[in-house]
Amino acid sequence: MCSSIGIGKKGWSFHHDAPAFVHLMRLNAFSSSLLPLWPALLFLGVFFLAPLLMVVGMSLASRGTYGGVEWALTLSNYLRLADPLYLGIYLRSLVMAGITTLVCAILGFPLAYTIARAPQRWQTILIIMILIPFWTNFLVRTYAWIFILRADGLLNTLLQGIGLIAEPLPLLYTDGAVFVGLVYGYLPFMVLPLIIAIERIPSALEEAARDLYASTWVIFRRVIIPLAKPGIIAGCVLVFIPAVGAFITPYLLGGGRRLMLGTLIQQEMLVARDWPFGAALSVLLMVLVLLTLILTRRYARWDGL
Amino acid sequence: MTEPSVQLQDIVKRHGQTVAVDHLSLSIGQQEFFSILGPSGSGKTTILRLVAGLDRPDHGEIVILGRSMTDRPPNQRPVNMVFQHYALFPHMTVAQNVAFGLLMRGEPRRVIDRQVASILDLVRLTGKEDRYPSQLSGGEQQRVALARALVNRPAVLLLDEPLGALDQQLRHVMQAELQQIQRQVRCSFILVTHHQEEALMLSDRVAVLHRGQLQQLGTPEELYESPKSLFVAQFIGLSNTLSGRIAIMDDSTCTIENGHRPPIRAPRPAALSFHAPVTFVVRPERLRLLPYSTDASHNGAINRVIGTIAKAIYNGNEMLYHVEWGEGMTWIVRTPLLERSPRFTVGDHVLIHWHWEEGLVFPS
Repeated sequence: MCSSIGIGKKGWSFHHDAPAFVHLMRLNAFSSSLLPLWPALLFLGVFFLAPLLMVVGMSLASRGTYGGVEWALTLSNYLRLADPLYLGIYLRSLVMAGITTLVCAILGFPLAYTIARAPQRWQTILIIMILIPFWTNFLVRTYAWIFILRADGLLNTLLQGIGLIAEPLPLLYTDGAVFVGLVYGYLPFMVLPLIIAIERIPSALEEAARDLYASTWVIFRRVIIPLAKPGIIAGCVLVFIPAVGAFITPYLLGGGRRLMLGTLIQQEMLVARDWPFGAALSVLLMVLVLLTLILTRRYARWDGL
Repeated sequence: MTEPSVQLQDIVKRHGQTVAVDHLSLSIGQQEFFSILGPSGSGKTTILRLVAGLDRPDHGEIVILGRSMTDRPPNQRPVNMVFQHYALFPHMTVAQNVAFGLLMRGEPRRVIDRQVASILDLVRLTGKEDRYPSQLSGGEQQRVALARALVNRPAVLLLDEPLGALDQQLRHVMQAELQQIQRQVRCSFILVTHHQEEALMLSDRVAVLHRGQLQQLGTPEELYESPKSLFVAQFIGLSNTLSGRIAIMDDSTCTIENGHRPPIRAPRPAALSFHAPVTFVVRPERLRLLPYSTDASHNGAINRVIGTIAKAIYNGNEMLYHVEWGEGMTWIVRTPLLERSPRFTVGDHVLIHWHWEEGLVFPS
């Protein structure tokens, strides 16, 4: 727990130790100890490093007259990133992702607590219920939200039916719809690490706090939440990162009119056919995510986690 | 006699199908060191949880200092608990752990600081205030748990197997310390343990529990010297047993026969008829050994059986002999290491002898 954000018995974790390549550089490339690593290195090279270098390389090229790529080295794409026109979009993406993360945490914590403390048989059923939506394509699930939110959709029909509203509310293609979609889509990524973190807190600690005159709320605030912190951080990272770069949800539920980073990249790449600028935007997204991770790590360090 | 600190009146607690506590009534005095002793699953921890308010009884009343507490939540009871694995808050320092209860009760900072300092002094942890539980040894964690409960000045301190996680040597040190602390803080201690030696050494009185029922309540001496049931006799201390039937009875003694083994004379149990199946029990330290060749004069008050030493264990302050006799029976004999007492080695033929009054007879 000291230098990693553990999020699973299954061993998914973000290790914040020195990056692997630092260790590798210390090793003699010809030493036998490196030999078993070759399959992994090959895999990472082909499927991770090469595409990454391609994106970075592309971001340094410029757009051809007819939408092609001209391989002339330039920083103009990066200069263009600072255009005030785009700054608002970055900020919007960060704020949307931030609020989504917060809402997921607030909704997810009580849910995760209930599941973590449920009897074993119920726990399995409840976790399966959380995982079931993953069996359906995310695109299909987002379309389902369109059917719920649109003017003649489920929600408006229902509200009109019980006479609460006269005219259908404009629900679809709003920021609200995007939030609903993002929270819906990423809530499981918050809940699962939280369940594991809370399950690890012995319930005797809650009883001890109760024996020492703490109310239920105080037990949460002073015992459960501080001890579940590795899970909270892992959940927030897992929600925030995909939410910043989300594309399908803002595109379908937001109508693609109010742009976020994900939709902006799609537009630049496919609509404006400006691949180099799209690549620069992608690099920016990666940098934002990396910064978030570094900040989280700092924050986690302060608390001795 | 002063008002009891805790009274349990006809308590019943079920966990699903099983009855954890079965119509139990107990009364524990103020400043008494009381132990609840029983094998695991006997319902002893459940009793502590009921007194603490962590569980509710299905039936019966819990009275603490004369007031009914059956429906009160834990935070309204003048009771604190030392949990089995201490349940220290791992994200808080020693001082923060100990201050927790006082903080929750809204005591002013100044009072908290003073009381935390004085209780840490009592448990000899001064200087470790800023350590985290993970940086402490098992014994130190144990003392933090004790301090965290005692700082609230409870009328009753509940201890759930407090020494269970400690090694033998530390256990002895902590036993002495517990006793000393209890004398200083003058509140009643209710200790739950499956460790009979611990219960006997520490307690004013001990309740022996089996399957949720009270087997016997008494001072350690009473439990050891005159157990009321075979369960208590076998659970507390070592005992040698022999099953058989009552063959001859007079006013105070009876004779027990078991196949072709020599008959044994023992105190006559009340309310048992001729030929009733019984179990005979005798403590290892009440038996004496003599070389087989000894031709002691016959005396009807002395039982004697002939056996062979199967094992001789030297443990520093006594000899433990395992003596085989009468077709596959092994009894344990404890003899102090006195200058004049004879020593035996494996294979020696010996005579086990004891006065009939030393035996105990229970219905089978």
